[in-house]
Amino acid sequence: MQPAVRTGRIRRRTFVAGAAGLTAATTSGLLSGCGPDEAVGASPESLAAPPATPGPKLGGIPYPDGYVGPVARKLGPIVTEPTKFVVVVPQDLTVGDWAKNKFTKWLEQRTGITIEFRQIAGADEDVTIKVNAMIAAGDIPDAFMGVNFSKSQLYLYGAQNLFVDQTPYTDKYAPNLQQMFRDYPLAKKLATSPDGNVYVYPSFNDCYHCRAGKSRTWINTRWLKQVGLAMPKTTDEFREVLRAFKKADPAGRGRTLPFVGYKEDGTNQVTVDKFVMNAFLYNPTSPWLVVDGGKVNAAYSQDGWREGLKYLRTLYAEGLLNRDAFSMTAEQLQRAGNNKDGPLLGVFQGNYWGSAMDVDVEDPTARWHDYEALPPLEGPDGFRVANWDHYTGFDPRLVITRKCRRPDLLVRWADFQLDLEVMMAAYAGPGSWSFAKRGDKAISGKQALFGISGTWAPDKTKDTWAQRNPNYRSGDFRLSERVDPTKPTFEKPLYEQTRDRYFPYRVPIEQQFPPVALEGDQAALDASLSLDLSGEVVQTMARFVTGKGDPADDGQWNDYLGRLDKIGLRPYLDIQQAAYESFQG
Amino acid sequence: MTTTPAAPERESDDYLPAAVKETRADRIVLICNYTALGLFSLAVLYPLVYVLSAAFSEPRNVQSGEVWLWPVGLSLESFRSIFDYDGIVRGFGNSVVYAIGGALLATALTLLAAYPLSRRDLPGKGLILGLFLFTMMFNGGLIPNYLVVDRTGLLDTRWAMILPTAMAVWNVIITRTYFQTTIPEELAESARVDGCSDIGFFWRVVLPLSKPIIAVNLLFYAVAQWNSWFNALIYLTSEHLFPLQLVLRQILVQSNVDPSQVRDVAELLRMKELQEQLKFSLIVIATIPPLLVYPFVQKHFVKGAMVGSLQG
Amino acid sequence: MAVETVERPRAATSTSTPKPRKHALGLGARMKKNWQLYAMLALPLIWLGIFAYWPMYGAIIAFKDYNVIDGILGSRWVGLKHFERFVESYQFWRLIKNTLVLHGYELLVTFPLPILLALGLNLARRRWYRRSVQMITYAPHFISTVVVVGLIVVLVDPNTGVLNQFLGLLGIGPIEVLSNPDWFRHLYVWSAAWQTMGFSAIIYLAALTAVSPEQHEAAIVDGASRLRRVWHVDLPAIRPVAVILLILNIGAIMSVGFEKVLLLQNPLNLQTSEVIDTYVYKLGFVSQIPQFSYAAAIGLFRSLVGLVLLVVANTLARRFAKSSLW
Repeated sequence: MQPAVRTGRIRRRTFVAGAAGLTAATTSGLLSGCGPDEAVGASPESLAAPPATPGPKLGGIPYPDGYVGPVARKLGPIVTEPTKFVVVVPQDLTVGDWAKNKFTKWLEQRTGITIEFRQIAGADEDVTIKVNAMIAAGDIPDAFMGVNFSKSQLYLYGAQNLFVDQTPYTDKYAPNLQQMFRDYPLAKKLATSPDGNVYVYPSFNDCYHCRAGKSRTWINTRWLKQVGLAMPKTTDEFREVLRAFKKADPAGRGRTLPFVGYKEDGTNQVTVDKFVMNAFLYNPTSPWLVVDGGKVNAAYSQDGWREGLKYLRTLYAEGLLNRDAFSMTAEQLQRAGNNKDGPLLGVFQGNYWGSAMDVDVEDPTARWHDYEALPPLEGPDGFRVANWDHYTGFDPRLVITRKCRRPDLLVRWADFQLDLEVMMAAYAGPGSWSFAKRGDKAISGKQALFGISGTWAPDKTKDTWAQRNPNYRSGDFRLSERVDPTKPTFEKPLYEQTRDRYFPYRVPIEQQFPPVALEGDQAALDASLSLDLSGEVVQTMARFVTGKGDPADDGQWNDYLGRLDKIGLRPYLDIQQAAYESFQG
Repeated sequence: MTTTPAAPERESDDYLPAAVKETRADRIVLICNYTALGLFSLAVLYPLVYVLSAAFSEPRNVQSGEVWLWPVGLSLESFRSIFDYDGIVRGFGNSVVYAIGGALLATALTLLAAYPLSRRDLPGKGLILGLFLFTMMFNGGLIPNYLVVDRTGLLDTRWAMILPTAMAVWNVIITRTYFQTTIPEELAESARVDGCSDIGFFWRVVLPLSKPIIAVNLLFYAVAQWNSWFNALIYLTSEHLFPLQLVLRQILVQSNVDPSQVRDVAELLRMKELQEQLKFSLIVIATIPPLLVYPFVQKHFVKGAMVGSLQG
Repeated sequence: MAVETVERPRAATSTSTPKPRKHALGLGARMKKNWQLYAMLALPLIWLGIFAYWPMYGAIIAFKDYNVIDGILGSRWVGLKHFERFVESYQFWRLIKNTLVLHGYELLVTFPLPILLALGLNLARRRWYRRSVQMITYAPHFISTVVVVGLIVVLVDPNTGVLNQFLGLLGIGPIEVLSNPDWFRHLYVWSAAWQTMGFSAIIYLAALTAVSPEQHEAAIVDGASRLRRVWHVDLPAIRPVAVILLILNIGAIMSVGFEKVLLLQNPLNLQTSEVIDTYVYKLGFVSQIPQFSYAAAIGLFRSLVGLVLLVVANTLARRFAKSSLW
C-alpha cells in the first residue's frame, strides 16, 4: 500500500494535461487527484480478521489500589509484512521531524507498521486551513493524527463519507478503547456524532486540575499574612482584603496591584469577569452559555451579570482593580509577576502560577509558592459556585479517511498506543521513564505507578510524540506519577488546591453547556453571531466596569440588552438549543 | 554635456564646485537635515538595541522587565539553545536558498515584463498592462491556488516556495516607471535606426543603466521571500524543506497558547520556557542576513551613475 | 467587470501619453516590428496565466455554498447570499469606516515620510553618515510584529512607560493610550511609519540616482539654494515613482496589516480598531467549520472597492500630476 508514490505519478500526468489546455482547472472534485487504479474505501479483508483479544497483563507492576486506567500487557506485532500508511500530522517542535523521531522508530519496530508522515506547520487554525485545502485538492492521506477537528467538522466530513465510521473496527479490534469507554462513558458520548457514528479514535485526558482552570484565581498569601487577614470568603471580605493590600502597598511606591485583570493574547477576551462573577451567577466564561432546566441561555443577559458588573465597577472606582484591566497584555502581567524586587500582584486569574510568573520547581522559596488558589466567593445573596468543566478531556486524535484500505490496521495501531508502556514511551520518550518502586509516593499521596526522569525543560531530545497521538490518561493514571520529595513539581499543590477549594463548589453538570456539533448552515450563522455577541459583551463590560457607563442605570442596561437582541441573541440561542438537544439525544 | 568622468561615489558633497560659497541659508538647511536624520535614527535605534540586549541577556531578566537598554546578566544561552533545534539551522539554509533563488527568478521575470510595458510604442500595451493590474486586485483565493500548485506538481517541493510568488505586479509597475523616467524613448529609437534589436538594446543598454532598480528588485524579492511563511505552511509538508520563518512562527504560536483553552500545565510551562529562551535571539539570527546584504544594494545608489554610463 | 478594467487602460493610454508619432504602419506591421518585445513578455505572461489567472475561477465560491468535498464547481450556487450577509451584518458600517479611516490616515503619514527621508539622505554630504542612517532606518523592517507591539506596550505603559513619565514631568496626568479608541489610530500609524520609513525610502533612493550632476551644477550656476535645488531638481526626479506608489496604495486601501491591529486591540478600543481583516480573521477563529465562501465574498467586495478607488486615483493623477498608471 503506497498511495504516495502513485499520486506522485498522477500529479505529473495532470500537470501535463493542465499545462496543455488548463483543462485540469475544471476538475476539482474529491477524487480528481486519484487515478482509476486507486481503489477507495476499506477493502473487504478489513473486517475479516477475528476480534482482537488483549494479551496477558504484565506482572510486578505497582498499580495503586483500585486503579482505573491503562495497563501494561504483553504485546505482539500487528502485521508481519511491512505495511505503510500516509498520515498527516501537525508539526511540533518537541516532536521534531516526525520521520526521525525516536518514538516513531520505537513504535515501528514493535508494530511492524510504517508511517509516512506529512507534516503541517503552524497554529491550530493554520492546520485547519491546510487540511481543508488538502481535502479540496483530493490530496487525502490514509489518516489525520493530532489535527484538532471541531466536532462540527467531524460530523460534516463524516456524514459526507470522507471520514470513516470507526465503530465496526473499534468494536472488534480495539479492546483498550473499549475499556476506556467503559471507564469513562462520557468519552464515548463526546466522540459520537449526532448521527450516532464515531468518526474519530479519541484521546481522553481526565485532567482534574484542568476542570477548574478557566476561572482559577490566585491570591498572595504572604501579603495576606502581612495585612493580618484571613482568606476572603465573601465578596465583601474580598473587597476588604483588596483595600488592605492597597493600603499596605507591599510592592512599594504605590505599585501594588491588588486585583489585576488583563487581556488574553490574540483574542479580545478579558479576565476580570471569570472569577468574581461566580458570586452572582454561574459564569462558564466565553461564550457564556449555560443550561437552565434544559433551556440554553446566555449568562451575560441575566440580572446576576448586571449585579456582578456593579460590584466590579466599585472595585475599579476604588482603584482596587488595575486601571488597565482591559488592555494589560499577558506579557505585562509576566513582568508584574516577575518584578525584581518582588511581585506586584495581589490577586490574579490564571490557569496556574505560570500564567503570571516563572515557575521554578527547583527553588523551594520561589515566589510562586506564596500564591494559593482563592476559593469561590459568596455573593451578597448567598450565591457561590465554582466554574467546573465536566466535559474536558476529549481530544480527536486519529481520523481515518475513506482513502484508507485497511482501517482495521490503523485502529489496531491506535489501540496499541493505549497500552501503558507504549503510552509512557510516547509521552516521556522511550527509556526516559520507569515504573515506580514499592513505597514511592504519588501526587495522590498513594502508591506511585511510574516516574519520569528529567525536568520539564524544553525537550531537546525529540523522543516523544507530545500527546499528539491517542492517549488514555485516566485520573488514577495522572495522579499516580511519582513525586520526588527533593524536587516537588507543581502538579501536587495544583491538584490538592483544586480538590479542596473548587471541587466542593462545582457547578452541577446539568447546568454546563456541552461541546456540541453544528451542521453547515448553523455553523456559519453561529460563527458570525457569536463573534458579534462576544464583541458587544466585552465592550460593554469594559465600559461599565471602567465607569464610562453605569450598569445600575436602567436605560443603559436596557440599551445593552437591546443591542444583544439586534445582533441576534434569540436566533443564536435557538441554534445552541437545537444542538444541545441533539447532544442529549 | 561635460566630459567629467562619473566618480564612483564622491566622498563629500557632490556637485558643488569649490569656488561656489555656501550661503548661510544653505548651511542652516544642512544642519537641520543632519539633526532630523540623527534624531530619527536614534528613535529607530532604540528598539534595535533593545532586541540585541534582550537576546544577549538571561531570559529571566527579560521576563521581569529589567532589560530596557543594555543586557542584564550577559548570556549566550539563548543562542546556544537555538542549535538544539536542527529545524532552525536547516530552516536558515532553506531560507537562504529560497531568498536567492526567488530573487533571481523574480527579478528576471520582472525586468522582462517591465521593459516592454515601458515602451510607449508597443501595440496592445494597455491590454497587457490591464492583465497585470487586474491580478493585483483580484485573486482566486487560497483553495484554488493550492489546487494549481497541486496540479502543477509543485506541492511539497522547493519550487512551491519560488514559482507561485515569482513575480509581483507591484514591482513590475515600479520598475516600468523607472524605465520610463530614466531610459529616454529617443535612445531606443536611435538604437533601432542603428540596427540594434530590442533584445540587444535591453541587454546592452537598458540593463547596465538600471543597476539601482535591479538592486532594489533583488532586495525586495529576497526580503519578501525571507520573511514569508504562509506559502510554506500551505504548500510544504516535509520538515526538511521548511524555511526559517515558518520554524520561528512555530515557536511563537506553539508557545503562545490561548490560556482559556484548558491545557495541561506541564505542557504550558514547557512552551513558555521555550519562547522565553528563543524569542529575541531568533530575531537577531533572522535579521543578520538582510542586514549583511544591504550594503551591496546601497552601493548602487550613486548619484549621477546613470549619466556616466550614458557617455561611456 | 473584467472587460471594463481591460478596456479602460487601453483607452487611457491612447489619450494620456503623447503619441510618439502618427502610426504610419498598420497594426500588424507594428506588432511584427515589435516581436522581440512580445517575446520578452512571453514568460511573464505564461507565469501570470498559470499562477494568477488559472486559480481565479475559484472566486466563484463567493456565490456558492462552498464545501470542500463537493469542490469549487460542484458546490451549490447561492447567488449574493454571502454578500448580503456581510452588508447586513451588525458590524458592517463600522468595519468599512474603521478600515478606510485607518488606512487613509496611514497613507497620509507613511506616503510622504519616506520621500522626506530619501531627500534628506540625498542631501547629506558625509558618506558614512548617510550610509549609517540608511542602514539603521532599514533594520526595523525585520523586527516581528509581536516584538514591535511588545515594545509599544512597554513604552506607553500608564505606570512605568517612558511616554507617561515624560508627560508626568510636564505635569500631564497619565494617558491610557492603549485603552483609548482615538489613540489607537495614532499608535498604529506612527509605529508603522517608524518601522517602515527606512525600507520604503529605498525606492526613492533608487529613483534619485537618475538625477544628473549637470542638473545640479546648472542650478547652482543659476544661484539656486539647496532647498530650491531639492524642490526643482530632486523632487521632479522621484515624482513619477511617487505618484504610481500613491495610486497603488490607494487601490490597496481596504487591506490593513491585520496582525498588528489584532495585537493592539482590546475591548476599550474595539470601536475604532475592528477592521475588515481582523473581523475575517476572528470569524475564522470562532468558526467550527471554515467559512471559505463568506471570506471569499468579503474579499471580492474589498477588491471591487479597491478597484473603484484605483480607477478614481488614476484619473485624478492623470489630470493633476501628469503621470499615471495607464
